[in-house]
Amino acid sequence: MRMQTAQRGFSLVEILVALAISLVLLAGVWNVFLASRQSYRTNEALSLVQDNGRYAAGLLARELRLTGYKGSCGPNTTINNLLDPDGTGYDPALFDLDNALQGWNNTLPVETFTQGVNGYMAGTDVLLSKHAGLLTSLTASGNTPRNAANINLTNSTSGIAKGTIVVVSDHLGCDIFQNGADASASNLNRGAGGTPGNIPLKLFSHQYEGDMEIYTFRSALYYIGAGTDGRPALRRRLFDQGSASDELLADGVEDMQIAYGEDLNGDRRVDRYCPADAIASWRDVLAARVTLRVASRTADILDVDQALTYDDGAVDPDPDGCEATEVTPDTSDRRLRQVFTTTIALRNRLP
Amino acid sequence: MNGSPDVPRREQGVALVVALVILLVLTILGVSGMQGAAMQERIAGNLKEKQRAFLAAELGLRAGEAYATANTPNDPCTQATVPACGGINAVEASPGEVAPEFAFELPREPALREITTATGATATGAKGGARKLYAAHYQVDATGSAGDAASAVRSDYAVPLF
Repeated sequence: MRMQTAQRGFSLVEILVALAISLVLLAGVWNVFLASRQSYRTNEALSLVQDNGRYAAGLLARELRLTGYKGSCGPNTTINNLLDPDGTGYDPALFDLDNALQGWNNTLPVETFTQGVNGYMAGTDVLLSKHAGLLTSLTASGNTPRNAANINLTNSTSGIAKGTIVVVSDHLGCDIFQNGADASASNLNRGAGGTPGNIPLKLFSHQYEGDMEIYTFRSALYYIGAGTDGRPALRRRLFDQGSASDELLADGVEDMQIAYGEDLNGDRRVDRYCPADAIASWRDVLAARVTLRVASRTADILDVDQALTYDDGAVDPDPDGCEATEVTPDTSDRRLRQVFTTTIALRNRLP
Repeated sequence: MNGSPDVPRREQGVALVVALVILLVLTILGVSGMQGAAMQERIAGNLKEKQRAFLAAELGLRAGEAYATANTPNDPCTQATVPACGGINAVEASPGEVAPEFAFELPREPALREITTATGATATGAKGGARKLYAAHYQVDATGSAGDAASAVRSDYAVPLF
């Protein structure tokens, strides 16, 4: 047997020196690890915040740009309302396309249609927007006389669920009614029934021909409500089907502040941006400036409390007019927060 | 220890291995950080191009609407003459102006539409009773592009005839 004398062991000094060196090395590596973990957490939170913020701002921008759209019949033509004003749940605020925009500053209005909103966060703005900008691929078959109960389609199935509110238009005028036919039917029906339902036998605004454009109606109340884990989120309450349904749009949106661009002298140009309670006439609102505050899902992302102050975007040259209100949120939970602001022209009210 | 003639000089390679492992870890960290940054930059770049394309399309739409306004005859069309309110259809076939960033077209004949019934003086100053006002109704299609992004918008546009 050849026993080597190699495994002599280490002397105490050698072990101490080796331990000291490896401790120093380990401490360095640990620091690098901590720093990179921190930056990963911050990056991920930032990505999520920006993702949610971009989505929310983009969605609101699209909806607001379309606000008041009535198809071919322009802003000067009054829409012919076939919906039953005495029907269940009918409210002109929800279904009158001629008055398509309304907002409330830092408060949820006490109305029938705001009953049942999901966890409204106090102190945030509420927005109600309506348009008929959801174009369907349907085409009418032949003429539709004024007294017709059905609009016959060239399509074999309409795909429009029973109860959906529909806007039809051509260059002569437009009508709004609730579809009473099934999605599998080859026509749209404006008979009685439904919520709110139609006025029986009320006539179309005029006789339509094959060039009728068929849109579905969008009526939505945007608000900050309860999201995942009870955290605030951008939600909307849809009235597209007459009765309300509520949906979550973007998690983490904590605050929505809107300043509306109002035209005061009738030249179709914005003269001031003011919060909802200072708006004299909603029909003269031509633009909306939306400010959203978005927070990360996880707390304790940051090492210090984030210094964050923003305002609601109000600008008024008149010294007696409205003033911008500053908001300084509580950031002691050390979530990462970002403020998104976008100004959107209401395309259907521009000259 | 190393000086001992009996010991194989094996552990001299350990420094290299340790250095390589640490380098590997740092490289992974660096590459993942770069990937995140590159992704963020791509998102921001795409967003910017999308916005530019949309604004270019909006500009095209504005140009198309201005074109329609400028080429709609200015004759006050009275109720009696509206069915024969000539000249308006001439606008229909125009291809629209094309710039590098945007293009517009007016794809169909403008339709005449009654917009309101007004009372009072007519455009020519004659006093009258109820009088119908008409508008020429266009469809304007515009496209815009910026980089790889493209955007298409459409508007229904009415030019009042009074």
